[in-house]
Amino acid sequence: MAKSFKNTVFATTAAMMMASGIAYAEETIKVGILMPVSGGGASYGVPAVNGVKMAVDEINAAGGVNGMKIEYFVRDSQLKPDVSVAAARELITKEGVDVLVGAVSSGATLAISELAKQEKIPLLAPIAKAAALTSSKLHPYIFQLAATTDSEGRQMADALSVVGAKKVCVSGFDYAYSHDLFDSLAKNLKDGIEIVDTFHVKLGTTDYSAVISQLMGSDCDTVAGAVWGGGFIAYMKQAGPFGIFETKKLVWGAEVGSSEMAGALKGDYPEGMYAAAYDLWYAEGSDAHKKFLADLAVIEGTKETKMYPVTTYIAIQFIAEAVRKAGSADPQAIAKALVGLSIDTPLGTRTIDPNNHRTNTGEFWGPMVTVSGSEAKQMSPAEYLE
Amino acid sequence: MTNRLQIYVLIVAFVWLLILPFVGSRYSVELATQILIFGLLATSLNILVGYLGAASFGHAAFFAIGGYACAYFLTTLALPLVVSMVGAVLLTAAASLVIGFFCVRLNEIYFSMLTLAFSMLIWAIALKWKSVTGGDDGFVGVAVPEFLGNYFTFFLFTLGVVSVSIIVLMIIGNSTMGRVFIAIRENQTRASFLGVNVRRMQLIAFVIAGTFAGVAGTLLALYVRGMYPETAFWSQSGHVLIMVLLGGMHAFIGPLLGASVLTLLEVTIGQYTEYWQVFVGVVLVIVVLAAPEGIYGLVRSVSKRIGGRQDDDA
Repeated sequence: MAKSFKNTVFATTAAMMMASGIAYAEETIKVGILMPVSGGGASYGVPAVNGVKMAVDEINAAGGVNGMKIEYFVRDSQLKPDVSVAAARELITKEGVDVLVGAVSSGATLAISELAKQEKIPLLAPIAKAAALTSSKLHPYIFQLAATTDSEGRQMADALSVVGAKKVCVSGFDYAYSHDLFDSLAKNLKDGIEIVDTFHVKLGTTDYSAVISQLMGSDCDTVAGAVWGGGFIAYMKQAGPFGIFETKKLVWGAEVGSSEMAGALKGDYPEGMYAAAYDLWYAEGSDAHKKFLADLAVIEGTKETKMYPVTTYIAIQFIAEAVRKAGSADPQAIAKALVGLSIDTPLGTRTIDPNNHRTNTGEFWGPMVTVSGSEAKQMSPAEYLE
Repeated sequence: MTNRLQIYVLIVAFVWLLILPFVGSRYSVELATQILIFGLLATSLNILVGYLGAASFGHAAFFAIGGYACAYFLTTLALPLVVSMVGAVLLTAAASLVIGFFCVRLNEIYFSMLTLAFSMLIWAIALKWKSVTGGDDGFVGVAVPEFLGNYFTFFLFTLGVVSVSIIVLMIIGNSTMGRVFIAIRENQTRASFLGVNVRRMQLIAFVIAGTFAGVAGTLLALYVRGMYPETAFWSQSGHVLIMVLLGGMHAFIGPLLGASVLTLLEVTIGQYTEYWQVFVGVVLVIVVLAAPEGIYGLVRSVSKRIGGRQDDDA
């Protein structure tokens, strides 16, 4: 009798410990966010973290995922691969994150991806575009939610057809993103369009006078560009006085159609430039998109919201749905659940392709034009291309 | 620059690090691995800064050459680990001989600027030579041998390599050669009148420093499982120089202290605020103002006041 009692107590205690252990382990879904929140990358990283905050707050306010709350930890990736890897290691080994989201630059994301593969922790890349992430470096734990240079090149080729280009000059920063983008563009050109000249500039340069002179001297009728960020602003400000906008049509990738770029350039933004953006605060969208923009406006304190929050918002949506599907926050279960997963996002249905772990992420494309009541140009009409 | 106290500190640190993987968390072991790698890099730089009195702004170049070479030998050429590491270190030594040949012809700020220029040249090569280095995507996916695949064995391996390197550097620092380096630092003209071939000794110091930076680079490539152009960028050289100054350039263990404190500051403050750089900057300003001889100098002056006795530093 005594022995039986002891066994019962032992079994009950063990069961309770196991149960409490499981409950503790699955109390929260821990997400590690690697974004450049300081220095030159902060203009990308800070809005991206806002997107995470929005999604996590919404999900937790609705009771979490299968009763589990999402907890997120932000680390500064500083646009540096080795710093990103060190931060990711810390998130995995100290904070015990179940899934990683990041980073911005392709180099840093490739570096974290290697660690994710080694540690068997899923990594969702919402911004990095390097096609290598999900081609030559594809593994079971990497999921690329950003538009890749493959899809962007295809969209740019479509845009060139729309503007009636025939002879195209390409101009970007002289590094992998531009090279990959224009390779993809060349593969997708149609309607007899051809690339006749290439005018690249050094990454991070501020003086575009030489390349502008060369562009003026070229017989191309359209410039397809990929210079981004502050470089794009300097390029356009310097190109305007040369009258290049009157003599050549412009089609520009690298998401320079965002309200951030239009707001920074205002009157210097070329009228009619065909540009791209992940998100537009003034876009005609679904109710879900309208709600997303309204909520984001509260966080950012302006209705002219930024473009990057939607990328990380969608990443958190994917994580929540994967946990729901897997019934667990186990990293390997999340990775398996993400394969082929479809979710409804503010920008429509997104599906992770089971073959290459990419999503059908599109971008808004259209001409940037002057609108009444706004100093900044806006994309009109804006078409969402996948 | 090395006294008995420093040797005791190093022995205690080594024993503590030897025990760490058995008693510490994985996180603490990973952090210690990073500190060891950057500690070796900073100590190698101190051969130039502390011993020779020549501030190099391009030390990261050798760190990157060692790392990229090791990654290439190990992954692309599929050579064994020992061959890859030794080959990478020899290549770094050769590169530092060539670069040093030009740099030691100049003094002070001109020397610093030339090291910076060569460093940026190496950075540009890492960025442009895509077929070998992976360009701006970096050299991703170094084929690390299976026995180094877990943090426990990798830490012990790193501890072994760094310890041997530190002992060699300490022997060099305490040898006649080390004393000659200090003599050049104190007064080049007097050293040359005493029969020292100043330029040759400067070149030797440059090669020693570059070679051990290469050793640290090989460890980084294995640890991160990749190499990236940012590793050769001037800001990386500046970062290591701060470690040396923070710890104290006139003590052998100064750079190790500096690497430990700076890494811990960056990591721990970064976990609590995105404005970590401000806090780290403030701490650095305070340290530099309150302890121009670095942390070791501060500890030494405090212990002198308390103990009222002279240390036996050179």
